[in-house]
Amino acid sequence: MPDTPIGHLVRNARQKNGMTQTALASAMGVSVSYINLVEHDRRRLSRERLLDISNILGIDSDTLDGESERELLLELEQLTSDPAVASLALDRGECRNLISQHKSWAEALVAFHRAGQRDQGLIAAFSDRLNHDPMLNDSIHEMLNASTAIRSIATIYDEGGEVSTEQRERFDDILSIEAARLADVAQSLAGFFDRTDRLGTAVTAPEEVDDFLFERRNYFERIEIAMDEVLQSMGTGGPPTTDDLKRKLSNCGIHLKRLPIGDLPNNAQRFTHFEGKTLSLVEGVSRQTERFEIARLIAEATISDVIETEIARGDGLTSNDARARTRRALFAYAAAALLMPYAEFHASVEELRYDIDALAMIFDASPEQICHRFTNLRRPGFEGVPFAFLRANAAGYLTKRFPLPRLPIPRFGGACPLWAVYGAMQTPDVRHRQLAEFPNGDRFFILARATRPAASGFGQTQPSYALMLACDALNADRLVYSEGLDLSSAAKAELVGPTCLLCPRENCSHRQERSVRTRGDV
Amino acid sequence: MSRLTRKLCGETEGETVSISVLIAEDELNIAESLRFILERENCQVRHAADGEKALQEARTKAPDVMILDVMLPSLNGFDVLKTIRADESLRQIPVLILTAKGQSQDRQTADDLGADAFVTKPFANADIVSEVLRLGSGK
Repeated sequence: MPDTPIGHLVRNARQKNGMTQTALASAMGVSVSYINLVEHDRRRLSRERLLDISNILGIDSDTLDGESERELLLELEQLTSDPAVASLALDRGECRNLISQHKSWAEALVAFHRAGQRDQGLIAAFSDRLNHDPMLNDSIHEMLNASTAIRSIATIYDEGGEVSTEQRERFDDILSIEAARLADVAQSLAGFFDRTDRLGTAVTAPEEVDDFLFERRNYFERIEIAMDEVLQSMGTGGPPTTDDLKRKLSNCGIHLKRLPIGDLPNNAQRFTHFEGKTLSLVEGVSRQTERFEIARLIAEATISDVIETEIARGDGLTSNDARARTRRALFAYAAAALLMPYAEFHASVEELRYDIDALAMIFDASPEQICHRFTNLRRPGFEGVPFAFLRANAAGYLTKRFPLPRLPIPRFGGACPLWAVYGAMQTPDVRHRQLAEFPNGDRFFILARATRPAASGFGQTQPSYALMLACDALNADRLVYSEGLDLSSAAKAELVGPTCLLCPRENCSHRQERSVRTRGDV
Repeated sequence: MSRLTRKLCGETEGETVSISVLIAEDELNIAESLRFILERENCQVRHAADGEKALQEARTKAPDVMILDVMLPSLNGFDVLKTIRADESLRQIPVLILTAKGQSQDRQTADDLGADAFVTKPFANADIVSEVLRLGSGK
């Protein structure tokens, strides 16, 4: 991994152990110059050598994996594209050197850059709010009208001309009404700016949720256990049938109602709506969506305390918006845990080798629900293949993202157009397999499929999505989809990148914008 | 008749002049104070609380001057102005646009549509009176 500056980690660990380069070289059976090159990030460490070094120096191989350095490097490189420093033509080599020699300074730079970006987002949000907030516009309108009437009558009084008693009484009434109106407006404005104070980091709320899930590896033991208990209380003896779910929902005091297409309230989400104690489902909503919605409501009715505890533990969730989004994500997680109980799901997954369609039949779930659940399989001792998961809409925008440490997924917009997920959109329902090689040599097995939009009434547009799973090519042999493919390191892989901005493949015919790397490598 | 009226209209003592004014304003309290200050100046005042009614009133009997608020229900002030300027029988009515926004864009729109005067809220009574008398003096 020549792109990841881990030389300083090796050097520090060696020095901590009181070893010379010569001693380490001799223990590893390599030359001193090789060690020297590694410590200066001029040689890539193979996986075997990395294990050797970590054994000899008595440190965890994960520590030497350079994961935090990789993330730091990525962020530093993103920083070089900031217009504020464009004229400095910062180069990528210097990013690596900075991390290698002054890691904490690199971290400080990234921290400042993040803070700057967050502030810019906040400024944009505030400015947008001030200019377009309907509440502010209405308040100003009310204020001007009230003060117009008051001013006009005050002037009439001031001039001291003749005003009949009847008219004077009318004017007095108007003054009192308009003064009260002004007071109301002032009060609601004060309330508005109080709320604005708390807008805080709401701009970055989706990022906070992403980070929250990623840091916990998208696995929540307490929720799994709690939903297992809910399932046991249902007495199903296995994954719940739709009737089991409906019975439990009814026990929770929630009614189910069917509505003809077009009868959902305007604020309803797609096919379902929950209000009061009634879940409304439009005729034609898929059984899987129905099951998921019911499971989510059961979770809300039964394990809210567990979810709230998880949210309270999320230090990085700094705004109400972020907490609300996390709450939604965790209730969806709990729904999946009820429909696809961990133990059964993990056993079936291993047995069926991640066959999505077969698992979808067994658990009566949609392919998307199955793929999403794959990313939860991180229970110690019962771990599944680590997957990155994403969902793209027809515009290529990534609407769901769960990255892997070595496979970063852009936070905004799209990714590399060569990723199979984009090709999949051209042929819905066809499974696309791809052995993809990234510029740093990392290889991933990518699986993608686009779904046709759900059936809907005339004039109603249902969204269509493409789903993508990606795992380290080394793990791909655990998947049924790898059959018949040569996934060895000698096999020819498709050369892809992260995004154009971060991709060094200058001559790629798919390039849409200049890479920040080329500027630095000149 | 006030001294202001006489001064603005250049009238002599004893003469009476009566300008008919149509106020299109949905804020009833503002309409009431406008009515008072204009009637005090011997104007004949009618009032309409929305854009449609304002057009009806204007068509029933064209006023000498129209005071037109921008933010009117049913048909906003700019729509009313546009209709008036496109209507042969109403085209000549001098129109004073009243806006609570006072934004330059509103002023530009009013100019483009052929408004004769533009006053922002909260207005000074004297400004309204002087504009109405100025516009009405040309009748």
